[in-house]
Amino acid sequence: MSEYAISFQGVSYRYGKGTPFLKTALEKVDLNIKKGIITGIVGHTGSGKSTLLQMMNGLLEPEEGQVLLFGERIGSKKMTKRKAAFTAGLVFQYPEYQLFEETVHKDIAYGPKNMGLSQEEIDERVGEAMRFVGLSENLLEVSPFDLSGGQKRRVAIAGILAMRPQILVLDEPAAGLDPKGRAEIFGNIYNYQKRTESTVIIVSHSMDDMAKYTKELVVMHEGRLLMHDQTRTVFLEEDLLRSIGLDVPGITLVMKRLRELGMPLEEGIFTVEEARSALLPLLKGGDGHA
Amino acid sequence: MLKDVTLGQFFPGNSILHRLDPRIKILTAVLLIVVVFLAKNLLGYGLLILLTLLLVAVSGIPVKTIFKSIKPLIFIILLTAAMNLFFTGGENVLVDERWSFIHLKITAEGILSGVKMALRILLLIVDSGVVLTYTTSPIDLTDGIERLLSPFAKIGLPVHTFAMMMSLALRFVPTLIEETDKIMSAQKSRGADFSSGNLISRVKALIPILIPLLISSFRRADELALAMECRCYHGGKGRTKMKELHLKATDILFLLFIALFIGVAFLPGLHCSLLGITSFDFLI
Repeated sequence: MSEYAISFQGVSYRYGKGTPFLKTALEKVDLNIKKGIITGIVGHTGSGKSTLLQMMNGLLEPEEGQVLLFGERIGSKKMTKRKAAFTAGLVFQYPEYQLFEETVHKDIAYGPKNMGLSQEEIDERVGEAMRFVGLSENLLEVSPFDLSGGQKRRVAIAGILAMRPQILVLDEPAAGLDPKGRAEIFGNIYNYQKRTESTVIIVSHSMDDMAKYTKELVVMHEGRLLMHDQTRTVFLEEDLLRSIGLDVPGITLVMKRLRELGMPLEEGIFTVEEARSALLPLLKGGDGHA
Repeated sequence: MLKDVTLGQFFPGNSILHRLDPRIKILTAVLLIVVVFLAKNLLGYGLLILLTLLLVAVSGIPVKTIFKSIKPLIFIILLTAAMNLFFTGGENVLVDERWSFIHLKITAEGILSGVKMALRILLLIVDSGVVLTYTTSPIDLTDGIERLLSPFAKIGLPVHTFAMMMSLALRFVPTLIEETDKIMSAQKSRGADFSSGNLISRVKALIPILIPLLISSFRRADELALAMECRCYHGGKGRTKMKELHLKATDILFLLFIALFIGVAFLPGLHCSLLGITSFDFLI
């Protein structure tokens, strides 16, 4: 067993080989993702994030280099591509468009069924997955197409969780949801990770969510790995992030402006909670007990 | 994997063929197809092959691409040729059924008609591809069809609707391919297996792809209809075009050239008298 959940070793990939539309998606990427934490991946559109994700569960094969899950190369005997798909559960963007079954139960059970599990085991996993994403039991026999957009999204995510993947990979899990739905989905994922202590990887464009939920952050730029560090450390590099079309959390900008206006605030405030505990003492006259 | 589909694909370019009026190209393609099936003797075929090679050279479409478009049809071509080879009766028997191990006789006429059939299909594919689909953008193509069919609108045929449907269908082919790819990847991530098991289990494995695809097609159709209505689309009545088609001198010249070529290629009487030969038996 390796100390890393996922390792990319010198991975390169190009699309459209042999056509005039050749495009380099990844260029010699070396990346080690730690076990048991939430890692975020950010990058501009076309920076290679999606390619990176699809390599984690064996959907794409690197042209050069190799990808290892828990120290085993994908495609080797110990980690076949099929096993990789079950080890690293990948939730695509807008996963609700992949629902197809008659009932919520059947749709969530599709993955476990493909794993060849017994019916009791499947039923147990479906129930567990539904609890993780906050769906109530009485939706089990409802058609997934009768649900609301947010509920459909939960069903689709539960479909992956029911496979009990050691690694959960999510591509923009909250895209297109309202603020309440966003917070709920991210909250579910956060709690799921805490309870199962599994490895979670999230791609998102929302720096606010990244600051709030991820421990480490990977920054991709034009197919290359630009930064990989603690989320807090990455967000200190405001100018670098700006130069590649990314940004720091909104609250950090507010804090910066306040600092410029003369308030004695420190750098490195990235979430609303941090901002509150920094601001309240100042507003109460500096006694520090709000 | 699905991205390899080249059927009816357009290759942008700036050759004479690319710049021709789509109506002329459609007419030319129809003419060529008819002529390919009417050509009788080897001289006719020779000239048609010459014309096809000329068109390919002018179009600037890589020969590799053209071969690629023929490849999926190789089996049909060979089968047709074989059928003609064995089942064409004739007097000049080359291999008697007694000597042939499958008890079929081969005649000189059979060989000739087999070769002719194979040539016909090949010319058909290459001509229609080079003249029409490879060098004409889908929008131009439907525009051309609409204009050519416009006389029928007078007797109540919904020509505009037909053309609009066609251009919408063509427009969404790449979208659907992309969508299929995406759904396949997603279901593979849930352990779907499309390539093993018997026929029934393989067909069953397609359900998780087809249902989401069907649903998203309906959704897209709904959204598209709404978007078109928002822009006050109400059918073809009084609708003007941003790009009007106008015939240019080159269009007329091209059509004349093709007509001339065809005249020579397949009016036997014409080249008989031109070449001063009275009997064409040696060309059959």
